Amino acid sequence: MLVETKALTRRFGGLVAVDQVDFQVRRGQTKALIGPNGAGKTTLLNLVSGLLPASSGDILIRGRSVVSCGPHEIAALGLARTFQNVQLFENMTVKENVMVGCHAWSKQGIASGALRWIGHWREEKLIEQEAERQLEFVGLSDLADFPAHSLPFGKQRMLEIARALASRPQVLLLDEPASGLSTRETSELAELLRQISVRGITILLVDHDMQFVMDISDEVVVLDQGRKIAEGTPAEIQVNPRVIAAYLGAEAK
Amino acid sequence: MDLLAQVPQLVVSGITLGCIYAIVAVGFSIIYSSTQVINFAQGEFVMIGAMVAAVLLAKTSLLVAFPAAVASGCLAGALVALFVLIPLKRASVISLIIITIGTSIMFRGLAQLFWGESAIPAPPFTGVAVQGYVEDREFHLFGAYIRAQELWVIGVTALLVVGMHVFFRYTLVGQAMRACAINQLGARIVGINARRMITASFIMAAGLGAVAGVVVSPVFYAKCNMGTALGLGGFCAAVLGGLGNFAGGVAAGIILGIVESLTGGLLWSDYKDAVAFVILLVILLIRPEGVLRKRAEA
Repeated sequence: MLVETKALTRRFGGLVAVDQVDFQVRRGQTKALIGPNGAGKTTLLNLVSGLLPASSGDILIRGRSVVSCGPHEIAALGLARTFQNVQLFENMTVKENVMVGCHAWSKQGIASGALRWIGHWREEKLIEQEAERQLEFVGLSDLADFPAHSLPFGKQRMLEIARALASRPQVLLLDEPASGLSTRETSELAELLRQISVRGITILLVDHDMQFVMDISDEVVVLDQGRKIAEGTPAEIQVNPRVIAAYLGAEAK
Repeated sequence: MDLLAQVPQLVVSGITLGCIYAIVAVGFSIIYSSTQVINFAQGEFVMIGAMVAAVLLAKTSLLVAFPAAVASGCLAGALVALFVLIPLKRASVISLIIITIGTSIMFRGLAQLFWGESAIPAPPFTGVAVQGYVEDREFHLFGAYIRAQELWVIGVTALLVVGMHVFFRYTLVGQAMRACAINQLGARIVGINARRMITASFIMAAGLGAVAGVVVSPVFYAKCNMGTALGLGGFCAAVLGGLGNFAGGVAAGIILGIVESLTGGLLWSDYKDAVAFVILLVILLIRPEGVLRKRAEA
């Protein structure tokens, strides 16, 4: 298992946002987390990426418990993610944003960076090439030297994905990657995610766009009020009565 | 004596003072960028560098004293980050700023305890030994005498400023530090250890301050309370240039040094120290975002 949670729980005061959730992500698959608003999907991603501490339970990445690790340690284990509201370095250029994404695997420490100028310069070149490769992959090569904040929203999202890929992740977490995108941009995104999957990168995503989710996922986990209520292939999920009830219940409110 | 004839000399000493303000201003900007904190202990790092250098220069050579003084400054910066700023990260920015004032008073007190209250003279870097003490070389230029040590101050400042620019623009660690300052959440998720970056920014700012202290110790002498005035001048420069804007801080620092020196020499020497604050107040009233920063950052 690449990513695994065991009885993972997170409380905010009296509210149990994630309640005893067990789920696994196998290497190479594309897995989606869906559920009505407030089901705890983003909280779950925040727990797995180390941005929030768990109240109880365990998280394993490649068999190692990371429940007490900070986000930079989890990133070093090969996990990258994007956010629903993109979190870019706005005043830096598009290329610099992706170069910073290489930080996780670059050997350059602060002291060694200052001392080993030659090796450092070589690595810097390598990182620049890697950044250019990722930009080409997501189709942003011609915007490399523009400041990140000058890009339209859809391209900022692509940039965030390029930055995540630059860290050479084994698993990529995407929080609502299709939100705010046009229909055309969404289908381009789906195609891009398929190519990422072909490269052998495991994907765990949260999204509300059902067609998009069912289209690209191998497996779907459904959360409702912090609990896992179903898990299966897209075809199984679409006919699962508990899932239909949860969504209808949410809409009836 | 003709007052105007003094102008070139005053400008030279103003530039020297301004260089120190410039380095201190860059230190303020580095720490502000990575933590949003205005570190009022910044001037004390200059004092530590100057004191350690002056004390050691009496016994050993510059080759030993310079690195030792800079290392002491870096150590002081690391201590502030590790034992004051990071453990208190839940505190509000304003409390942290007040804590840096306390830290600055502590450093000053410790320096007074260890090294006493009197000024310690330091020999110039490239002076000529004359009857048991070292006299600096002097150059005559545009009606002013420039001491070799003043050229050292200017040269070292230029080197540091260019070095900082290259570091933040072209190295990965520099980019990571900038990234951390712009968006800490984004930085943490790509694997940057924010705590380490904050520590690094303190070490760098303190190291810069200490270098300034070393080069200036033969000009001003080292004294335990020298950090206050230099720190406040540097703070004014940083704000005038726009906090976080290195080039702006450097330019403002040098201008401030010159204006202060001219005011002291030509007008009222008693009010020399007030100049920086009068300028700062006026500027904050009319252009609160700083003079040298672009008005609307699009």
